[in-house]
Amino acid sequence: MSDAPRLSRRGLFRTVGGTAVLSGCTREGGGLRRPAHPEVAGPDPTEVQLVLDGRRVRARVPIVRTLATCLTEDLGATAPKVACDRGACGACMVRVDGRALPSCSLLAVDVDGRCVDTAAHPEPPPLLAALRKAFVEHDAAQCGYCTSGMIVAAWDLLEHANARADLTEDEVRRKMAGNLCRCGTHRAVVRAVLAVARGEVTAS
Amino acid sequence: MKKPPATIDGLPAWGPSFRPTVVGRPTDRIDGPAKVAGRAVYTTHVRPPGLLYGAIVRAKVAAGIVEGIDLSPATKMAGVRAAIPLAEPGSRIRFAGQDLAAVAATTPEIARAAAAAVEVRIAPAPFVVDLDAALADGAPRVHEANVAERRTEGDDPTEAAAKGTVVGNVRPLPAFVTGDVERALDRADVVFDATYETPVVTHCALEPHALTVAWDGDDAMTVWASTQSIFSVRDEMAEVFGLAPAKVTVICEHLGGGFGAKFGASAPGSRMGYAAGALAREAKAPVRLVLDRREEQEVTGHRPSSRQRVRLGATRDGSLVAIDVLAHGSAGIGTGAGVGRNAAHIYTRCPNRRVRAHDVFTHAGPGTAMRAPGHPQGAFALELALDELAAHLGKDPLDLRIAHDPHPVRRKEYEIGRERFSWDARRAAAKAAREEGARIRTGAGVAASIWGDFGRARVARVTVTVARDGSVAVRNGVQDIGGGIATVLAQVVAEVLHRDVADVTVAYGRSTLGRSVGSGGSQTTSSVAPAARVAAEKAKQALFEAVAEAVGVPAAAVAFDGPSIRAGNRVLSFAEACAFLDDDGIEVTGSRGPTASDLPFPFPGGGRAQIGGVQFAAVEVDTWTGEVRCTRITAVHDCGRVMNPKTTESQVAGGIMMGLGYALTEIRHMDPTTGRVLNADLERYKLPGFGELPEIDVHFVPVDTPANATGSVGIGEPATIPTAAAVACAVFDALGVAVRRLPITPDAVLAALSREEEAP
Ligand code: FES
Ligand code: FES
Repeated sequence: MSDAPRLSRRGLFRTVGGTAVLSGCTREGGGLRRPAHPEVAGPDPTEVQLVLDGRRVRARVPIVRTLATCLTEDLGATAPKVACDRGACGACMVRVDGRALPSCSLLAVDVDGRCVDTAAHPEPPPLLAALRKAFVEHDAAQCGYCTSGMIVAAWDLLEHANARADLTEDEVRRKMAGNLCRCGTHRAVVRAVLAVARGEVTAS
Repeated sequence: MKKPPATIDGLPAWGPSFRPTVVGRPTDRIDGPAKVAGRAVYTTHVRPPGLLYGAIVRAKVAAGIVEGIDLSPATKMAGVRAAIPLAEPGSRIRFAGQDLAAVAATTPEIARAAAAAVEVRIAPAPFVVDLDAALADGAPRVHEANVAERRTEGDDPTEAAAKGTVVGNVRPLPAFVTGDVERALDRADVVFDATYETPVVTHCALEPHALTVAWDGDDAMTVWASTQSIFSVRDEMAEVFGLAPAKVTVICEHLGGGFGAKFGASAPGSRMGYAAGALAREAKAPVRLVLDRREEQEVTGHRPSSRQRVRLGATRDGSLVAIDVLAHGSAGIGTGAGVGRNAAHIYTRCPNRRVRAHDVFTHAGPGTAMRAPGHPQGAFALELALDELAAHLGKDPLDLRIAHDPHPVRRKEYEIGRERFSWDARRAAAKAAREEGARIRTGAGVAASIWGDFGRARVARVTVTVARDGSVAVRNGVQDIGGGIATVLAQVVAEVLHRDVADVTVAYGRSTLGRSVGSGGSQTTSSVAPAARVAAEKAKQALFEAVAEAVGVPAAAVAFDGPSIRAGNRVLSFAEACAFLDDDGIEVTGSRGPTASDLPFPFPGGGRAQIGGVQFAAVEVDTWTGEVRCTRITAVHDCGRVMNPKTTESQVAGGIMMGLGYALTEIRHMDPTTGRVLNADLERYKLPGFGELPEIDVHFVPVDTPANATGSVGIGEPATIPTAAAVACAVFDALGVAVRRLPITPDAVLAALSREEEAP
């Protein structure tokens, strides 16, 4: 892999802004705006390009490779964790063009050209930064294996909430229900998310 | 046990008059920032250069004899670097999922394809995966001979080893008997007799079992392991590969859960350590083995099932005269289907008690210790039986418990809980709704736990360093399972050296940092924290001596004054004092001695304290749909001196969540026709989640125990022992009829209600 910005062989990097680091692709349709992957891919490994946590990266992947495997094995991402490998636990959640999705259940080639944000974003947008703080303050990470996924789900939930400050505990529980935790951090997670929603914990 | 000594490990106890400034304060865990920022690297993410990916070929049948294993279809595939057999012709298959072979390849996808390509021939044999079928005459035998017990650091170390012989598929575990139960039952005014069942549930740590082995020449290796016991991995790898233990470096910087299933280099049902090491040797490259969720559910351990016939004898006025439990349970091919200590050792004012438990072997992966081995099973049956008996007698079940439990702390915990939980009001409300026949009922229940202070002497060696620039560091090879021991290390050292937690650098999670204990049996804190205090006190002494010499006062004239150090009439900052050290600074190692006291109340067998803990549960039950919701848990626990209330409370809340899964949602289903796990995933195996989260109220009763130099005791296991039992008791209170099997699913509730209607 390489961090070096590079024009793709199809010259599709044109919508990338001038900054080297994009601070979280928070709007849908962010990223490199590459079209859906060309008609046919494979059988040989194919190159995918992503904006990962604000940095342009590329990897050559077998076409059957999941986004989760691509992120952790090809690109060295440490945030997504694969616990079930079939969309049932949320530990592998990342944001693809601003939407939280399980990276174990996407193929890397299918997110070619997109903007992928993980909980490890080096320049976290304010919501992500606030969530990190709140998770520490409320002790919402025990073993921590579910935590990156929890934070991505919470980030998504807060960003897309209509009236963030009015979020209720019930709504948080419902929206986070797809994220499993075996250490039982649920109570702390709800408290942390609500603390950010209500502005009790902020980025700064 | 003798009265507590004046000093512990040569130090004054942190007793009632001790006023800590760091220890006992809610403290953010030091690894929190790395975890929340996704920077913490777990075993599953370690990528040494040249890394290969391993996969294990597993039996798809539950019983049979291996006829042949052909690795060549795998070895011919591009990208495959090594393939080894893990069974040979003639090997007996005893459960679906058993190891057959392993492969390593350049990508995980190729490794999986290569594993699938290995050709295996197995002559299938009859098998049995169900408890009743295994007990039937003529059932296929799981083991031909006696079975060796597999004990881990997750087991209760005071429990005797099973010596009974296997008859059919049944082997007795050591029985507990006191008094004469049969005679007492004969003479009792009231005898209550019922049978309770608990399912197999699985540990489900979100991080699967994972191991990466990198050889360094022929006689040394580095092992990254997702383990609850770095040193058991080290010793096992050294033994398996004939290496000196010092030549095996084991690293577990962050651990994604374990709950009892991650001791040793091998998973309970899979020789992962051997496989990864042998593949890496053959391929001459590091190999990573990460199990998938099916393997986790089928192979890597579970909490054994149980069927318990409970008989209670009582006098008409509510004195218990007999407790008798006859239990059969299955740990698959493994051992250890006991039922803990609730029946035998909590209600000891009942004079006649007997517990006889049996392992029933089935063709399923081996069970292993899971957060309080045997205890949640036994607690469920005994505590619910007590409530049923109390109802017959017209007694308050809380009063019945207090009347028979001599433990002073647990008795106090009951009283605290009674207030905090509004026990009387809740019981009255439940009764009113029940009598009125309301659709939505509420109920309240309570249950107890028993555990011991299993802190170990002279195992953990903690090193404290103080450098000339005033920096302080502590190191020990312990793994942090999420309980927060790394933070406690920093707290204890900060306390003794009058620093802030942030001033203390902690190194942990690596076998080169000094021997430590496994994270099992709730023994980590009470083994490691006192060793840290001993080391820190030595460092303090060394520092004071250096200051005394430099300033020209006797060492006794040097003391802390807040964060400063006073020497005679000079006041120095900590950094100024450290500047008197030589270039090497201070480096001292400490360990703790034997448990010094069993105060305030002994664990069975004596020599160590007994930990109490009670939990109250409130439920809401919809009698039309059978749905049960736990609305509140009030948990009142003791664990000596709480080192870090923040992380300790988290651990208790986590134990409660795990207990709610046991109560309401979790069950591993075996398919009797294929012998395989039907729900070997996380969508059909139902973990408790945000939907199950009740109000959780955690309260600690501080106990001054002179057991060790910090007075700390573990809490990991007691936190989950009584939860399911309390919920089951609450459901009984709501319905007036008991659901005698876990999990308490809607169909079980409806079945119990219809039984009640049929009853005359
Ligand atoms: S690993 Fe992707 S949802 Fe569980
Ligand atoms: S913190 Fe361990 S799984 Fe959530």
